Amino acid sequence: MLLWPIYGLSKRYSKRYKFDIPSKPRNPFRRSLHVFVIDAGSDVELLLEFYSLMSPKYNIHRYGIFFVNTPRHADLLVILSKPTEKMLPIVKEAINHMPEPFGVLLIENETFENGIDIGLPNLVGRLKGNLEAEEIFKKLVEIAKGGLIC
Amino acid sequence: MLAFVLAIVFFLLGMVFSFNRTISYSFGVLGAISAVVLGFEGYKDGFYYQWDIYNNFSLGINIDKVSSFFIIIAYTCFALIAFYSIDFGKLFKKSMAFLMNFLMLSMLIVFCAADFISFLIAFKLVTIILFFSILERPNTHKEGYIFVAFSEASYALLFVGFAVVIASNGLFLFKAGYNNALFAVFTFLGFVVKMDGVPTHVWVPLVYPKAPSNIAAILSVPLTLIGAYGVFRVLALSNNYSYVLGILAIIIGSISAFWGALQAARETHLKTLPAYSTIENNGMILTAVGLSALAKYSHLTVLSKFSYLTALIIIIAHSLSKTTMFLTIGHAKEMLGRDSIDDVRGILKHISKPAGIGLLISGLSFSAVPPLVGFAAEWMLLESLFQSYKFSDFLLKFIITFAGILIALAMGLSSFSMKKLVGFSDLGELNFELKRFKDFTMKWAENILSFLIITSGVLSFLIIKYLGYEEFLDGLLGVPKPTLVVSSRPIFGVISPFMFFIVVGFFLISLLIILKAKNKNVKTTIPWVGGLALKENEVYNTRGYSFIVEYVLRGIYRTKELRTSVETYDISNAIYDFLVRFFKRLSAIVSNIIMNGYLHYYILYIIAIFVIALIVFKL
Repeated sequence: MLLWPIYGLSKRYSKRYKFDIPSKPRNPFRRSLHVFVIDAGSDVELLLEFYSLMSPKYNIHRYGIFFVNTPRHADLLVILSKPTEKMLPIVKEAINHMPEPFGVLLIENETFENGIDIGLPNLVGRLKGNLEAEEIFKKLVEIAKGGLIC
Repeated sequence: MLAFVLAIVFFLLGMVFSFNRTISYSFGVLGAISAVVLGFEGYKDGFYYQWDIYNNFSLGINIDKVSSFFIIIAYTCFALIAFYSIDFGKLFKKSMAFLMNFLMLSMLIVFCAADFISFLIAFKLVTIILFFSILERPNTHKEGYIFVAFSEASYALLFVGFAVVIASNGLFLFKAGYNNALFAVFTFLGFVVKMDGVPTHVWVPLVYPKAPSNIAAILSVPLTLIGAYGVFRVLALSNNYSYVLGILAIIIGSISAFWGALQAARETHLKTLPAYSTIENNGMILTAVGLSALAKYSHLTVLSKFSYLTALIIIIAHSLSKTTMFLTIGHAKEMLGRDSIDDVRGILKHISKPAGIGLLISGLSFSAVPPLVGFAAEWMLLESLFQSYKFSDFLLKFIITFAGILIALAMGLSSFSMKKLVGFSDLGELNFELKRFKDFTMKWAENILSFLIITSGVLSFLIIKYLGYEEFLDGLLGVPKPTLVVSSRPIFGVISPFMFFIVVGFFLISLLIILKAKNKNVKTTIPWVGGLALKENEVYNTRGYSFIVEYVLRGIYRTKELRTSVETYDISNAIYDFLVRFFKRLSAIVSNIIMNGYLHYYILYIIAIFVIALIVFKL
C-alpha cells in the first residue's frame, strides 16, 4: 500500500506531454482568440447586435473566442465605429497596450458617419453596413479559424 | 593651528557679511574647508592648549583623534550644506546666513572644547541658533519649542554631570571626569538624548519636516554627531564603568535602531521618513560603541577595535548619505511645494538629474547596497555583533545576540522604507507644475555628495588605513593585499567593496550594453483605466505600499482604518501624552486647593510667608 504514493509521484514527474506543433504555425490564434471590444462612438443598434454574440444562441466560446476586460489580454481589438475625435487617443492607447502579434477589426456604423479615418495598424477586417450579429459572428469565426495572419 | 584661526576668521566674516547672502555662505564654505583641514592636521599630530585663568579654573582647546575625526566628518557635511545654501538660502531670509555661520563657529568650539565651561556655552549657543533657524519658516514656533525642550533635557543632564566633577575635585577640564561614576552616567544619558535615543526621539519627526531642508540636514548630521562625540568621550574616560555603560548603550542603541526603522516603514511624509532613519542610524552607532566598550571590558582587544572602527564607518556612512538625502529632498520639495512622498514624484526625470541621482545613491547606501559606504558600515556592524560568542559572560552574550536580532530587523525594515522613499519620489512618473529657480550650487553640492558616497564605499580600505586600523586589511583569494576588509583576527569574515566594484561593475556595464543593444522595441504603457490618464487617487501610493506592515503590526502602530484613509501612531508619544495629561490634572488640582479664590487663603499665605521670612532673616 505504501508504494502507491511512490508510484503516483513517479508517474506524476515522469509524465510527458506530447503536442503536435507544426513547424511553421500559420495562425497563432487558431485555438483561441481573445477579443477586446472598444466602443469608439457607435450607435446603440450596433452595440446591441455585438453584445448579443455573448448570448447562448451563438455560443461563441465553442469556437474558442473569448471576451476580455483589458487590451493587455487581447489578441484582437474590435473597434465599434470609426473613432470620434475624443475617442481617438483612447483607441491608440489601447493599441499601444496590446501584446504582439495582434489584429484590429473595425466595424463601422451604417446610420451616421462621425468618425475620422486613421491609419490603423494590423487591420485584419473591416465591416460596413446595416450589420446583424450573425455577420459579425461569421467574421470573428473566420478570423479565429485562419483569417488572421500577422 | 593656522587652520583653526582661519576657520574662526572665515565664520566671523561670514557673520559680518550676512547682508549679502552669497558672500556670507561663501565665507561659510571657506571656513568649513579650513575646519576640515584642521581636522586632518589634528588627526595626524593632535593639539592641546590650556589657558589657566584662576586657581583651578582653566579653559582649553583639545584636538585629538576623536574630535578631529568628528570635525572632518561634520565640516565636510557643513561645507557642502553651506555651498548648497548659496542658492537655496535665497528662498529664505538673510538671517539664515548669519545663523549658519554662527552655528558652524559654535559647533567648532563644541568639538574642540577641553573644558566644561566653553563646551556648555557653545552647546547652548548651538541650541539657540538652531531654534532661530527652525523659525526661518513661518508657523514653526511649536516645533521650535519642542526642539528646545529636548535640547534642554540633554543640557540639564550634562550640566549635572559636569557639576558633579567640579564639586568633587574642583577641576573644569574634561579629563577631570576620569572614572567618576555619576559624571559617566549623567553625561552619557545627556549625550544619548542628543543622539535621539528612544524614547527621547519624539521631537525628531515633528521638527525635521518643518525646518528648512538645509537646517534639517544640520539637525540630522552635525547635531547628532555632537551626541556621538560625547558618547565616545565619556566611554573613553570611564573605563571602570564600561560594563554598565556598554550594556546601556547596546540596549538603547539597538532599540532605537529597531524603533526608528519600524516607524520609518509606516511613514509617508517626505522628511519624516529620513528623520526616523536618522534615529535608526544613531542607534546603530550607539550599539557599535557599546559593543566596543564591552569587548574592551572583556579583554577582547581585536573585537573592541573592530567595533570602534565600525562606529566610525557608520558615522561616515550616515553623515554623507543623510546630508545628501535631505539636500536632494529639499531641492525637490521647494520646486514642487509639496510634502508627501506621493506628491513629489519624478525627481530624476522632471526636477533635476543631480538631485535624482543623489537621492537614489543615498537611498541605496541606506539599503546597504554594495559597493556603497552604507554596505560596508552595516556589514561591519552585523559582523561585530556575530562575534558575541567570544564573550564568556552569559549576560553579555544574551544581550548582544538580541541586539544583533534587532539590528538585523532594523536593516531589513530600513531597506523597505528606503525603497518606498526612492522608488516613489525619485523614480516615479507623476508630474506637477514646477517652480523653477536658480539651483546651480545645489546641483553641484548634490553631485559632490553622491561622488563622496560612492568613493568612500569603494575606497573604504583607504579610509580604514588612514584611521590607523591596518590590521583589518588583508588580501585573500586573488583580492590584492590592502583591499580586503577583515572582521577579526584570525579571519572571521571578509568583504571587499573595491573588488566588488571592479568585477560587478564590469559585468554590469557589459550586461547593460548587451541589453541596450538587444532590446530596441520596449513598450511603456500606463495602467489601463479605460484608456484615460490616471487620476491622482488612482495611482498606487505609499500608503498602499506600507499598508501590509501597518496591518500586520497593527498592535504596535495602533492602525485605524478609516473610510478612505489609514491612521497610524508612534506609541512612544504616549509617554509624553500621559505626562501632559498628568501635569495638567495635577496643576488643576493644585490650583483648586491653593489658588481657589478665597480671600482668607491669600491672607493666610501672606502671614505664612511673613513668618517664614522672619525666621529666615533672624537666622
